Amino acid sequence: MMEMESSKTVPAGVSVQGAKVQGVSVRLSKVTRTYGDVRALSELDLAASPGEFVVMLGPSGCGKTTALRALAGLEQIDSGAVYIGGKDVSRLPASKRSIGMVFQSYSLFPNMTSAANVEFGLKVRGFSSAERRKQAHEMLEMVGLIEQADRFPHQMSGGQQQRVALARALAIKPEVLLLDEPLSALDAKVRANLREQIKQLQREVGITTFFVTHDQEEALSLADRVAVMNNGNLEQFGTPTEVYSSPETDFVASFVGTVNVFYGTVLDDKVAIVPNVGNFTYVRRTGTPAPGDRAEILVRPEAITVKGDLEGEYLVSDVTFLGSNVRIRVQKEGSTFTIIQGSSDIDIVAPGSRASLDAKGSAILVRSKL
Amino acid sequence: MASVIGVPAKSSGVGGSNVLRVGKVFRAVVLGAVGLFFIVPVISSARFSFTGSSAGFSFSAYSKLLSDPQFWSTLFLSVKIGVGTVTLSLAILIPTTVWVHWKAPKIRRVMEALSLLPLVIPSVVITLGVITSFGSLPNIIMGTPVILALEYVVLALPYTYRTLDSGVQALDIKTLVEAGQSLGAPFRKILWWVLLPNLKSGVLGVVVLAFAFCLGEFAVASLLSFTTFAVYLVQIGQTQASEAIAFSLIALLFTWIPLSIVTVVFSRRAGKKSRRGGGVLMSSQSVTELVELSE
Ligand SMILES: Nc1ncnc2c1ncn2[C@@H]1O[C@H](COP(=O)(O)OP(=O)(O)O)[C@@H](O)[C@H]1O
Ligand SMILES: [Mg+2]
Repeated sequence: MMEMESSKTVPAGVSVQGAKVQGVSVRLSKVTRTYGDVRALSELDLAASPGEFVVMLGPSGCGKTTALRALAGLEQIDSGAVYIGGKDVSRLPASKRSIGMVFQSYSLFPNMTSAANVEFGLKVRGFSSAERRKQAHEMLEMVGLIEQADRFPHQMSGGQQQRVALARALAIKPEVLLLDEPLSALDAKVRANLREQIKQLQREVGITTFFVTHDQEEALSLADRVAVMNNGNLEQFGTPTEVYSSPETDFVASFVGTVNVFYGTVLDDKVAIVPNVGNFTYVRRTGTPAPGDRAEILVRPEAITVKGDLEGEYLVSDVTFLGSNVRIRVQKEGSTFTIIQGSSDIDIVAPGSRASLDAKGSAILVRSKL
Repeated sequence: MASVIGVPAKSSGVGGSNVLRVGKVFRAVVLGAVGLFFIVPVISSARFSFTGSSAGFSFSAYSKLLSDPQFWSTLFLSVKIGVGTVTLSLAILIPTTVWVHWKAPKIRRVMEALSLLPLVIPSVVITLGVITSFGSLPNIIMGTPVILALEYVVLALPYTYRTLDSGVQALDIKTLVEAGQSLGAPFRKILWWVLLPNLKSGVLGVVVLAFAFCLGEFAVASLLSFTTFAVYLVQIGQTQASEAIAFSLIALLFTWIPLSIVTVVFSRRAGKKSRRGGGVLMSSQSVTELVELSE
């Protein structure tokens, strides 16, 4: 009887039998949340298209978890609204929203096997045990853990536990999948592996997904669009390429990827010059200094080359082999610059030698000299 | 400490194993001494109960007791009070400890300190307080053993609260509850399907401790003029020495037999569920918790 009653909470339009979910749009509208004096979210606007993979990226404490929990209904909001599939769900508790969530800490129920964990949401919805077993089997197969179906959480590795948690979240065929730094407790190799798996699964299932991380590499490799957050605000929302190559704010420029700050002059609408390095193309936006003005020119490590030069202005301080690339650090007047160069390039400089730099691409941002 | 169980102790090289061995010997000696201290009086009183003041071996003390109707009625009263106390303690403590860990982990210390108060305030004082302040309550509470059960819930708090609290502490309550919610479960299902099964050893600890407390408590029961099992034991002891000893040995059996059954059943069930390791871990956890509390 108890089970029948809650089966009504399966949202209309979500087929639990179907393999592929119809992605829905999700929107946070002017969501504000304060804890005492701390403004964790400050009128945050964020919208995802149906089936989109959105990664929320930002430093620790910027409000990513709060935003995700507001979406899930696990955190109350002071003002604003949350829409899932066009419906205002701001007043609904988490158990009534159609969400699947994977937590940062291991969240499997310790008294249940993997299979029972995956079945949990279906049991809540009153599915028969035969139906539950069948679906849990499918889900565990999907995350490649069918052999571990009878294992308890404490008998599995961290990576396996998070995969079961993912299967459990997807088993209820939610409209939205939320993941809060699900990989942060895992070691590097498992992390990279699981990252791929999550991406692939998301594509196959087609579910609208929000993934929180503070790791920019993770963000750029997973996202359809990256939401860069800072201080409870959205700094930029764009494709990984947009966020990396044309950051809209100083914060994004310095938080996502490595940047080198050169001093130079704005030449015209398209080109800025760094003395002895060369010309960088750039895109004008509001606040860019006028042609002829002095400016700070922000350049990615790949947009410069370095060559040995006895008369060069730069001193090579460090050369690190990274596999297919080499990272070179050079110094000039107390500032450090980072250059990434292919390992197969013939002319790799040695630490301690002098070198000069050459422009080879575009600047990501040109701003007035602070 | 519950979370440490199952993690293999790290031995720190050659020097470490020596220290470990000395530690083991020391532990054995202490445990042995404590064991003797406990077992010797039991054995000698057992002997006394069979011989009495007269010479020769006889069961007369026991047969007299077991055919005494008041022995059975007081035992029944104490069991009733015990069941009531256990039920009420669980009904109050499970929601409280879960709530504290989930919503207000900051007040954990305060709650713990509060739960220890009955140890600091003499039970006589508490009882006088109960009599004076609740004297006007309807007879259905004040004049019946219900008042005793209510008071035992409070007096047993130092043991019961800590036991359950450490069980809850070993779980990540917030995450488990939220995971349940995100899967669509209402709180009562999370409680039944997730929290309680994982709190088995803590709940078991509360049952054992609260029940044992009720069977053995004398001062409050006699102050409120209820002839409970323990009160009757003292009454008999004033006139018949060997019966009183027999009585207390029976009381010991009555406490430990049901408790051992409960313990075995509980840990067997836990063992069946998690074939490897889990059961052992579960029962060893409840045992360590009990040992710790009784120290
Ligand atoms: N329950 C809470 N009580 C008080 N402050 C909180 C609470 N949760 C989060 N905060 C504060 O809100 C801000 C954002 O936190 P959070 O969303 O967890 O950041 P992130 O996930 O990006 O690291 C932080 O300053 C944090 O200290
Ligand atoms: Mg966080």
